[in-house]
Amino acid sequence: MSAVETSFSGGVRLADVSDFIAPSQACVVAVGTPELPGKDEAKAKTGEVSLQSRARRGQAKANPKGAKPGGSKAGEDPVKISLNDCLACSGCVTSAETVLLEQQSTEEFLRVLEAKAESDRVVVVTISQASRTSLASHYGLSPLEMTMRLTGFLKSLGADFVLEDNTGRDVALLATLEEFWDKYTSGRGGVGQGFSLPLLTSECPGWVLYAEKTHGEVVLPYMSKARSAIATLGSLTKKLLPSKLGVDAGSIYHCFISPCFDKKLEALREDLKSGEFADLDCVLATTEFHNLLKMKSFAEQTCPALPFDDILQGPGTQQAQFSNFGSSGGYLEFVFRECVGRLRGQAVFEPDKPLPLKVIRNQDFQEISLQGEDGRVILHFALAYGFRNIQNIIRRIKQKKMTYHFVEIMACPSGCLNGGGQMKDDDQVDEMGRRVIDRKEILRQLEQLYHDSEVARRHPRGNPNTSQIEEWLGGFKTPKANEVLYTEFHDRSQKKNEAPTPMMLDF
Amino acid sequence: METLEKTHTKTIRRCEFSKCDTMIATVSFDATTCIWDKGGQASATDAEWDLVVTLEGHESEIKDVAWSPDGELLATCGRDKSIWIWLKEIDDQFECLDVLQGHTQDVKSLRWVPKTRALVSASYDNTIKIWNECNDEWLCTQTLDTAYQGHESTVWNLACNQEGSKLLSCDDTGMILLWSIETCDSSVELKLVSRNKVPSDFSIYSIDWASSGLIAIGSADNSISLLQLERSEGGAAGEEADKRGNEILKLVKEVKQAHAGDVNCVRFNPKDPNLLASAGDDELVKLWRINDILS
Repeated sequence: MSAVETSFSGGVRLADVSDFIAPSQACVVAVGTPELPGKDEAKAKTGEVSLQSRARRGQAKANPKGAKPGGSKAGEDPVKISLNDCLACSGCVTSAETVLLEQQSTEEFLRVLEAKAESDRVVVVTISQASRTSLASHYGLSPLEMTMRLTGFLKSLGADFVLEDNTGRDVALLATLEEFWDKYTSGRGGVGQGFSLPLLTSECPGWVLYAEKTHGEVVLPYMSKARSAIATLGSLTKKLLPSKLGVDAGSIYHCFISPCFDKKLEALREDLKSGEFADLDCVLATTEFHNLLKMKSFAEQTCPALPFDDILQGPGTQQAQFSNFGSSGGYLEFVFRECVGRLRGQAVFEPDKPLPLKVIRNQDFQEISLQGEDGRVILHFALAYGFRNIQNIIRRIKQKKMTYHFVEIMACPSGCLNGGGQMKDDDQVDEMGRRVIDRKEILRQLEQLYHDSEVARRHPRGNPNTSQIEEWLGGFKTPKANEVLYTEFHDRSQKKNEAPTPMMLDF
Repeated sequence: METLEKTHTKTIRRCEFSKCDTMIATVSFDATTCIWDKGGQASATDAEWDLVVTLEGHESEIKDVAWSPDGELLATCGRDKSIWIWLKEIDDQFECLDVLQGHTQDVKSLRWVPKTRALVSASYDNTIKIWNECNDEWLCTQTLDTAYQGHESTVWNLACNQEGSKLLSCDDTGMILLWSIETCDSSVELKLVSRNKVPSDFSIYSIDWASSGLIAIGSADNSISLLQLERSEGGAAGEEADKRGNEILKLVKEVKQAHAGDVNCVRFNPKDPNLLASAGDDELVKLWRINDILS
């Protein structure tokens, strides 16, 4: 596997079983007869999909395990599978997607910037809050200074817009709130089978892919259709910005600096397009972007610090940073508070402090509830980060023991600040291979830096863009709003795509 | 005798009794783990086994299963390169405590270190990994690869002695490594004692260590061999070696053509070390009396 592939989150990696044969057992292409190399696992090459038997190391037998006596040699001939076959399929995923991923590289990004002189491309770069926090920590700058120096740097390379992801985040939070409230107050607002809840957030692309490929219809009806923060901003950048600039969507090139490699896969989704154009053209992980900074000799102390831009307020208008509670989108924090406000007519929890979440089994599984006047629990929210906790959420749904109305889900333990694409400043190991710096301590520091004193807390409605966007959409319930702010999910599970004669493995 | 059927849809790779013998965990290539419970009458020989719960989560074939020494935890591993740790709750429900992703290939085998909550895993990536419990998760604290004189081919199986002081690992080239299990800062570590090549170059798929000290291996040449530890004569000298004991494996007896196919599994009866069960590609399970083999 390439370095990029190994960097994907647990959910994506788990679904990519490359040790044995690249085509999954339920591969849509009939990959010959089931003459598989039994106990011998053939290693698959990246990119080209082929079946090959591995020479037996132990020199044991002429007839390796699994190969039938007198069986044909079909299993040793390479089987070509096209990209389209693979993207339509459930199982083996990533080797084919690798091809498309190559278009999301620092080289490609630089190539677009360099070709700008001869084209009318408008280059937009959005820096995620998690990435800027990771870089700020690495360079020893405040988040604000980090963004301003990066703005100076990117502008010198030719970028037209350098944005933060706030507007995407704020609109995504409002869209999620409306979606939840609709479901909660509808006749089917209960939790479980036959009801429309829980609502599972879909900000995290690793989780979305895992849900689609592994659990399909069991889980997908509960997924929040609100686009992720960056998919929302990508949508606005390709659907709203062109009219403001008097260009067409195709001339805008949008690059996103992301804490997570999985966002590259999200950028490839057919559902996230404006006409024929992808809403996001390029996703670079924090570490990839850092490589670019090194390559272009970025000097964190001397690079000019410039005000950054805003999609609606215009270029060079921004010199302040804003955030919400929660460092992975803040969905639970926001939706819960708003719902409490709507149900009680007033805020119950202190607005200046994070919600008093209760740790369930570990730090990555926490919950909070609100009781009605009769003592019944009327709101029950949870956050479940990391693979192990996602598993327990899915088990509860399957066993019909789900009690949560709303679950904020992230594939990575500790959420986005711990994303697979973040700086690995804790990589030093001692002679015994043990980590010198505790990852938990680094994460605690990042969390603090994310909510740096220079970063003001702001309600999504406090962002002047949100009301303008709502006005442009005609509200959150219009067909236009649906197109710009929401998305769809697809069952890509094996069950759905079960091959008529699944290959039987022999060992 | 009872047949537990109509549950798994593909090959069942491994099964293991719980520490109190009232439960069986079966793992299958259908990616599920089934937990079976011995009805109400625990002592009755005709007790019925009921399916308590099916654990889902693995993406593909599950290769091994192990109950923790305290009986609280169940670990499974498989082709999706992951290891799952489940907590058994009071009402026979299971909650996923951790998913360990460190191996780069198929995880073939796992064992809990006796008297601890540390886990050892073996993989097609040729490594052995040690996982120690730390706060609320399991961290890989040691990866034994060729840099640590580890295996150079697929590590198929693991076995600990009853005291939990030594571990054996066997591989695809017929190499068996003996490790000493040491505790450092309440964290379990393995140190290599000796590399053993007995009796042939064939893959060794299974290894087990009886309470009597006898060791059994099942091999791709259809044989079962009995081995024991012996102090090495010309082995590495010095303080380090003395502390760990410079022991090597010595062949006691080989049963050629024990099965008419690969021997996939050998296990001693935990209560009667004179009884050995083996399973082969000839679709047979055989019971052996050690006395008979040795005589």
